[in-house]
Amino acid sequence: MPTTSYWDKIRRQRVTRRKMLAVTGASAAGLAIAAACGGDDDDGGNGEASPTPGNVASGTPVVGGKYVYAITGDWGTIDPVTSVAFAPGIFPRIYNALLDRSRISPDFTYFDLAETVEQPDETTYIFALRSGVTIAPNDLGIEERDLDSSDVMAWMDQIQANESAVLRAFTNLWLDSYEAPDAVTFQMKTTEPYAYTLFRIGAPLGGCIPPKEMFEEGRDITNTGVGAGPWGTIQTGSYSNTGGIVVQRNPNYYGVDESGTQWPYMDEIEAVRISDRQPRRAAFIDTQIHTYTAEDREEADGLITEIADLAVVEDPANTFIAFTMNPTRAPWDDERIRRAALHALDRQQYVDLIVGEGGGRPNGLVHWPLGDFALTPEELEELQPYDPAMSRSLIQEATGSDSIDINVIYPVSDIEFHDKHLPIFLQQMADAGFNITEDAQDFTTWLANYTAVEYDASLSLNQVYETPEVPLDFHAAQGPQGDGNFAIGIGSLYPEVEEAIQATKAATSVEEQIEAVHNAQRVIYENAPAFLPIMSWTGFTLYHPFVKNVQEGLGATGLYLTRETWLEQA
Amino acid sequence: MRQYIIRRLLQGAVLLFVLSVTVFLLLRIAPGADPARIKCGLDCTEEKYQSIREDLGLNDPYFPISFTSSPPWIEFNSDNQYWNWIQELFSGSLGTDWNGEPVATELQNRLPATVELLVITIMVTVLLGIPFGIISAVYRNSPSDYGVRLGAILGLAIPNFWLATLVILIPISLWDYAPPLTETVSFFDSPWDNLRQFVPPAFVLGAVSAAGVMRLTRSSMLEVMRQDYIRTARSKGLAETTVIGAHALKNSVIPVVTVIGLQIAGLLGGAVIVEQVFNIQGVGFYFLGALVRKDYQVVQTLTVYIGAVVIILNLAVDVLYAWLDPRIRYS
Repeated sequence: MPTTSYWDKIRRQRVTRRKMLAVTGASAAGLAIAAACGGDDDDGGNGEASPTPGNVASGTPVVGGKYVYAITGDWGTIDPVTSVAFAPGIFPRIYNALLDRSRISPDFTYFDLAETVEQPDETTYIFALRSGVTIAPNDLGIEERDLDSSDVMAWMDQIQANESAVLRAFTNLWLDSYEAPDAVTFQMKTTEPYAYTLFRIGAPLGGCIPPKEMFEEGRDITNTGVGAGPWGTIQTGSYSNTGGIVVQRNPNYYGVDESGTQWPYMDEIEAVRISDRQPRRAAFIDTQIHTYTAEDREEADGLITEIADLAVVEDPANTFIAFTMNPTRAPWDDERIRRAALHALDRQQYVDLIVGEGGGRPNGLVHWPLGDFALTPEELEELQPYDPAMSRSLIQEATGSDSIDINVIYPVSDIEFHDKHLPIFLQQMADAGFNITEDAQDFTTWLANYTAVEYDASLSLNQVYETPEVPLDFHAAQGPQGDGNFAIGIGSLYPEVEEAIQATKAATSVEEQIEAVHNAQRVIYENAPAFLPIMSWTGFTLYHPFVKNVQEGLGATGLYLTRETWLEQA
Repeated sequence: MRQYIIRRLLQGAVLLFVLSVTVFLLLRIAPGADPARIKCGLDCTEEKYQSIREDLGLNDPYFPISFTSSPPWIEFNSDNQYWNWIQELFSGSLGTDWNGEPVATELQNRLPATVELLVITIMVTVLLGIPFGIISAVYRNSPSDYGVRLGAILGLAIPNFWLATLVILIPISLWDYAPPLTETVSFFDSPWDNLRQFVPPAFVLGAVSAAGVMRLTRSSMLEVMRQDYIRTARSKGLAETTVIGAHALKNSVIPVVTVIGLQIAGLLGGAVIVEQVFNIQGVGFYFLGALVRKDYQVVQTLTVYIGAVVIILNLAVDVLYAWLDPRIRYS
């Protein structure tokens, strides 16, 4: 097992980044991304540093060119307030956020529309807005003016008015009030100290701020838009909700590099829809797209061999498949049965069989890509050892027999890795004494049941979380949304669990928060967890060598910094 | 003939009505969550879910007439899902899809790509299927015949999604070559890129249908070649090419025409997969996406639309059949 922690690596990487800043004269640069719900082939950059030959900042930036990447599904909508899935990958290129604290590198905060943030007390946030953040040219008839606090107010009003707004989960639970004392100040108060405020307020998922005209004049924000971001103009006719989009350089963009050259360097970014992996891979090799996320290390290695000077960014994916139990139903209301499941899973075997050595690591209750928030492998060995004999013994103790019949729902899905988990899961559970009756459901049915906690147990796919808040909140009394949805409810059964989870939200520093997250996990382990993330893997994002100044390590925050990437052959 | 065509068209209308009711009901009674649940997403609340159901019209009764448990047992519903859909179908707008886009606009944008794909596919089918069928029949039981028949069996046996993947993988592995995959290129914008994009998927679709056509051409040719008039033609001293080309082929090709017409319906189905693999934004691509997200409006409309195409094609083939073979009379 590695002896250096994730955060050690991040700290080392930060030194590298600072060196690069000396070159670019700016905050960290890059194409580091992890589109909040995954699936983009433009989604490197959420974790450990690795050598990236061919794409580090070197030479003089070249202005111009079009960067092309692939998305794998429908946009659905490009409303920055409500859209999930693929669109949050493009929003930071079009719009601005107040600021965004990197969720995987929390001592890095990208200041965008807000130049500074002050916290006079633990619940008050005062954002001083930047001047000269100017809306891009557009054919919507929206004036090319500077954004000010009235735009932030209109955006916040829209979140309050729209029950589909992504940030509603934050504002409903934590927001007390907000106001704009003047044109360059936006102020908000939370109901209680909330450690994740700056992680959430400017995240690409829900945190991008369009001009107020889009709301006040009833514009169709689901299909059109204009922003003051680096590529604020959406090329007319380029957007299709099942296809792609082209965004164009904002000549009014406020940012310039050290030499005075205006960002962004690239003229355009095009996102194209290529659903299937093989054509996506072919399009990458043929340079029709400029980046590609390999299926695993083997494929990445093959492409590196095939294409000279290809750059690879290795990032832990904030994704996992989990085994979820419903502790309000038999047999999972018995702690011993939940513990039996805890010991039934040989998480290392999933790694070995699905992604191979170096392709991933076993998870604890908080997944390992979240670095120091996760418990160490050594501690996890003690807390959740693989021991099918112990599982059978616990089942024997609880039922009088060394095996038990259980029902497990799972979605029928073509999402990568899910199909590979299932046979391993069934075999391991059988070995540990669980006789499973499978209930394979179509995705939508499963999702509805999973949301409403209408199941005994579930093999639950594709959980994507950039902070430890959500995986812990699955155990909280009211669940991750605070409304009972997804709430497994260990927190309501065990007050000490609820207390420990809530303590993680009130921490005032990163160090405190790490300690609180560790403590919450230990308390949940003591009370037999009901939500078991199995393993997370490493993503291998490949870039053609002409894509320069790509950097990893910031997670989705890096999307705001694509402005500093250039194409050598522009 | 006119009466026959009118009768067939009336039968077709009845068939389309049955098809519309069937697909309408199947979508709604099939297991699984409704489209509102899918659209509601991960942060779904009951309030939001109900609001989406209302927007999509899913709270309306299914049909204009519904049965009740109390007298008068029957209820008439002026606002109902089926009739609303049929009205949209006839109004030309075809309603709106899950994303709020008019289905007619989407079809208008996507139809040229699918039609082009099908036209090239038919050309591939004819150019491969008929000549190889003739070769196979003329050189019966020779190595050429065995080779062609083996090829036909492979064509029928290989799933088109797998062949489509191979058609992308092999050139990219051997020559770093790929057809345009990031956008659907119009023929009028770039003829060369358009053909680079459409010929490979047309080959994939055409390989399957050409295999069927080849086998049918072969058996039909063998049947005709045994006829007395062929023997007579040969005994007159006509060249073999004239015997085959002028006498045998013309008669043996009649059933082949029927089969090619019928295959177009199957090709539309195949296009759903092939368009996805080759990233062609055609009707098939749209249909598959709608199926995945249970977009009732699109799936219903496209099913009826494809049904109408099949009915019209069948009629056209029958009429063509009579034209090709004057002995055939419809009454």
